[in-house]
Amino acid sequence: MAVTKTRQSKPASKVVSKPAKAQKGILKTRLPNGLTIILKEMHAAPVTSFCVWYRVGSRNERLGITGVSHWLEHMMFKGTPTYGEAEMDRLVSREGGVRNAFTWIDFTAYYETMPSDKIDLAIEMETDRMVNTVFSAKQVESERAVIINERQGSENSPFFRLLEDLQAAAFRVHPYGHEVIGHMADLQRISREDLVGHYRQFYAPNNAIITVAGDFESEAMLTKINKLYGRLKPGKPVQAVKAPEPVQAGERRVTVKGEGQTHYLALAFHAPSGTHPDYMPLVALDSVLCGASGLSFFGGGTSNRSSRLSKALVDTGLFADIGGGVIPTIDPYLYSIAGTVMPGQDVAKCEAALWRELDKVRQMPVLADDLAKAIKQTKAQIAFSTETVTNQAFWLGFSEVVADYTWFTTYLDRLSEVTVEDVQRVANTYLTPDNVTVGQYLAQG
Amino acid sequence: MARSKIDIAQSKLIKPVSVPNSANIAQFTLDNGIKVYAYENFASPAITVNGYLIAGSLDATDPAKRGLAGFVADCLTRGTERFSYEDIFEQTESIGANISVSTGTFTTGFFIKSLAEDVPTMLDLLSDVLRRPTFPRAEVEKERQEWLTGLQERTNSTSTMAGLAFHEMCYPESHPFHWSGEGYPETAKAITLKDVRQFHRDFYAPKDMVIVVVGAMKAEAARDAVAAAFGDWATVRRSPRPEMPFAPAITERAHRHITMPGKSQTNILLGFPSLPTSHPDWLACALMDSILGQFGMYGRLGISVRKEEGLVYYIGTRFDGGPAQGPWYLYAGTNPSTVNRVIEVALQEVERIQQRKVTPRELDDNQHYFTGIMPLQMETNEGIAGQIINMIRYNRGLDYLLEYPDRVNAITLADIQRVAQHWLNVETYVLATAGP
Repeated sequence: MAVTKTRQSKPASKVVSKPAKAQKGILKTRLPNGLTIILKEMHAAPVTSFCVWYRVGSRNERLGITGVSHWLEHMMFKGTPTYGEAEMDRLVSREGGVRNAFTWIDFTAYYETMPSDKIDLAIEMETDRMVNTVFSAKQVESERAVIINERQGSENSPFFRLLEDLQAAAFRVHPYGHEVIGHMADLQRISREDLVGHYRQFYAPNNAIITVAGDFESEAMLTKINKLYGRLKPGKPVQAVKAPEPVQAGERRVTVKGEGQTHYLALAFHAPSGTHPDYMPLVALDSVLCGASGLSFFGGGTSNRSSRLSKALVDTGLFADIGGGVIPTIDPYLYSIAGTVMPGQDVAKCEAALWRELDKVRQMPVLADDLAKAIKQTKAQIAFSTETVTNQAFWLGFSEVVADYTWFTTYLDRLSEVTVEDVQRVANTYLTPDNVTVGQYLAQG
Repeated sequence: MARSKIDIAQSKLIKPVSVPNSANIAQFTLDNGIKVYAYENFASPAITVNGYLIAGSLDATDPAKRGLAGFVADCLTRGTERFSYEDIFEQTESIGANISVSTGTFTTGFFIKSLAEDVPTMLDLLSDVLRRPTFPRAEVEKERQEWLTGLQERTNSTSTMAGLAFHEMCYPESHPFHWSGEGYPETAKAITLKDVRQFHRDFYAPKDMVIVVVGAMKAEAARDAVAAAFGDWATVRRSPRPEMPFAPAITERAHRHITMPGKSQTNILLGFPSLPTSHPDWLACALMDSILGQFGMYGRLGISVRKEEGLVYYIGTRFDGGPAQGPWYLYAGTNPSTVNRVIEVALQEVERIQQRKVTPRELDDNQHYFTGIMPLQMETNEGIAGQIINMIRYNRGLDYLLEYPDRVNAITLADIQRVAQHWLNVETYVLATAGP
């Protein structure tokens, strides 16, 4: 199926820029129009995942249009002159594929995972909607109601309301301070022009990455991608977000009161970006405190019963559960620890107990065995993550947005280099009372 | 064009899908009645073990002890004859593995995910957890506190509260589906350590237990590892299983609203008891339901309620199926002011699929979808194990997946309309809503 003409230039030269040296069976290259392409062949099952990443997320939003990136993601399902609104979903499902999209603080991504012999459909549709998405006034209004519904659904969760306020308190300059879905007031006023403007500004080949993982031959895949995407004009260079968050100089604290009977406690510490040398030691620290995070896009990970915080705070009856979250980001973001307070327990007492454990990890080096455990857990998680092509396409793209794809392929090696001294150093650097925003949800019955 | 068997090898690049079937699933029965199924898949160094034994909430007959079966399963990992609670999780988590046990109405399911090299260790652990739990008093009390917290949290969840009300209206008190498998705060407090131990003694036994091993392990090695862990288990179930009562049809419309101040959105559940997965109409119902509320983005409902009117972020329909009469239900979340409109438009769609045949294109699209999605469903070891478990649980035979495309493609437009008329009802249903 042909891509329609809007915003297309002449076909690119047949010569694709010379592919970079393949690492671990991965090929990376760039088209003349700036589109980055990363391919990983995986021939275990006859399926392929095609994923398009745009370097735009809630970090690229200002007050007044918060949530516009996510809303634009919804609009990308509204069709093009070639593919009607429901047609893309119909065609992908009909061929036994699945598709979805996600908006995050640093990116917006779209994927189709399909039987390999049907993957051309995904390439054609994704090329088309990169430049030809329709924005009818009626569809914009209809989607406004859908997104407000989505936000209201999230608001039903006390934990969402706590984390939204926590995030806002942690950042006073950087746009990481607002939730991806955006403020309700902005969702009520964002216009069609805002959406189209965002689309024109950020959706162009020079601001995009394609990751493909699965059962295909790289040369043939590259030819297909070049044939369709090579015709697209690059957009204007995207301005980098320059809003460095000032160093926090003292504890911040937010309290959310609401319905229910269960209290929640969350601590958010400013943390280094995904490329900072302290990032992997922080991953190791999180594994020791809260158990290894899964590397599956679809959840997973190990249980978290033998971690330090679980033993100290859950086994002793203070919390019903507790977990940590460290995630690679372009700019410094947050390392968070959050837990459900056991009924009858005092929130302040729980917080004090949590701080005692954090003090310990700052004062005493972790054991070499703790690090060995974190590495073995991660090795298993990486093995599990290779079972699905969608996971591989996901992590290659995520890594390329934050750093480059080798961020993922060298993950275990870099984690293995972390020392007990590194872990203690980052504990002392980041897990400090002056660097924290404490959030508590106090249930009012 | 007729489509038979699964063979999507249409280019040199694409390998034919090797679906699990009687020729490539190795089957063994241990002397104690445990059925072992092994499927080799060396695509990654991982292994999934999935299975079940015949103990569930159906066996916990004391109304004052609802939630007992689930609580027993949760307490299994709190300590065994050879491993303390701490040992179990240290051993599991230190190798990045997962172990879990959970209970439904009919069975207690278990799951292991690990590297292939760790399977003997994990099976040994699973064996001890299922066969030799000691239920240490202090640990059981900790588990109870976590359980009570979960029960407390659910009172603040609109979706869970709507679900509880829906099942209470849908099934009579004499039916297990009326009650929450997780129990209630008063029953969670009433269950004693003696009850826990008694339930385990009475119902945990190897006969008819199923263990499926999928992954980077030779079938014989899988069999040997399972036999080493479970082969000497000789316990016999002490009590017969109670009979599952019949769930009568809903005879009059009923609506219950759970008022939850402070919430922004209302959850909707509308439906009635329906058919078990083993019913001859199951596949036609599944196709019909896909057209109505699943295909693409929530099927016809997604187009009319979400795309055209913007009333919801999510909406869909589902037959729960299972061994008994699981419900059919329509689910959605919407602003409190649009609840009635969502129900009105959704029921119009239900009526439409009853009154007019779906289009040939709709049926063809969905038949393609049902058969075409199989490679994705079987991409992971969990996916393959799930397919094998379903073939066993519903007595479909191990060649069901080979026959599946023909079965799907044999369903006609008339079949879809017939099952919509027979199994859906826009007049008498129960409606549960939870929100502000």
